[in-house]
Amino acid sequence: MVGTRPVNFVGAAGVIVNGNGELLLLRRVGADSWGLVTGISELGEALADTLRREASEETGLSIGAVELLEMLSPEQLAQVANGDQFYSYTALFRVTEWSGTPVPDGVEIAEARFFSLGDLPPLNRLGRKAQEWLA
Amino acid sequence: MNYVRDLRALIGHAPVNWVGVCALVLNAANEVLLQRRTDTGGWGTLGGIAELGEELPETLRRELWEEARLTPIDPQFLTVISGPQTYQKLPNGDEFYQVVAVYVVREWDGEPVPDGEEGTELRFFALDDLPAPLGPVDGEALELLWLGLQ
Repeated sequence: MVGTRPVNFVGAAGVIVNGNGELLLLRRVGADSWGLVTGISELGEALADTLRREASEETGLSIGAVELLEMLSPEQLAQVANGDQFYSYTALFRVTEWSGTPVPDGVEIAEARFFSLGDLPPLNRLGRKAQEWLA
Repeated sequence: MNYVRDLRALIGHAPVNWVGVCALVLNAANEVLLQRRTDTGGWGTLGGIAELGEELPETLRRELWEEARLTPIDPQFLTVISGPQTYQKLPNGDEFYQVVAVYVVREWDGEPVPDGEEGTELRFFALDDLPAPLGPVDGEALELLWLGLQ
């Protein structure tokens, strides 16, 4: 089988803003920078459904309507702790309908908080993309 | 480099998510350029699957060159199509789902010439007189284009 050899993975990420105009950011376990709700698609899964599933798994939020902003191509080969290597293609969505209070799952996600755009923490690529779209 | 062939050598016909592009090449009369595909025998849009780590705008340029000897000028990203309806099984048994970035190409350099390998014929079709059957992704992309032009 494929083992740890590099593959192309596809996934989705979401820009979620609250009523105060604050952006939801997540810090993954072991990471220093903050990013978005994101994850890799299951087989044959629609990208918007990937985002809904990941939001629920990572933070407990329920996502309704979304709008596609752009399709991001990989910038570099990613490697995760188990040695798997992949290039990721990520559909970036603006979430226009959501409910709930974000609670980090404590497994993949260490922290999940809303930040005002004037006071953002260190951001990863997806976090910076969200910042660009909200500017 | 041939990511599809290399991965298929490892996983056989098993279903996968392929990431790629579809080009809606439109002439001044809003007719779309389709190719008769060698693998399925039917008509389809130009485009194809991304090589390992390839940026999608580059996939678009590469596929348009390989399949039609065209070089796109200022392609416009339209949408991305994904989901269970994109499932296909080829005559050779390969199964896959598709995640397809759709681009509209209204300007290009070159004259369309089929490559004779992936496609045997290239022809512009009016959007209200498309050949049938089209694949699921082509149908959805062209429907969206048609709605946008109304």
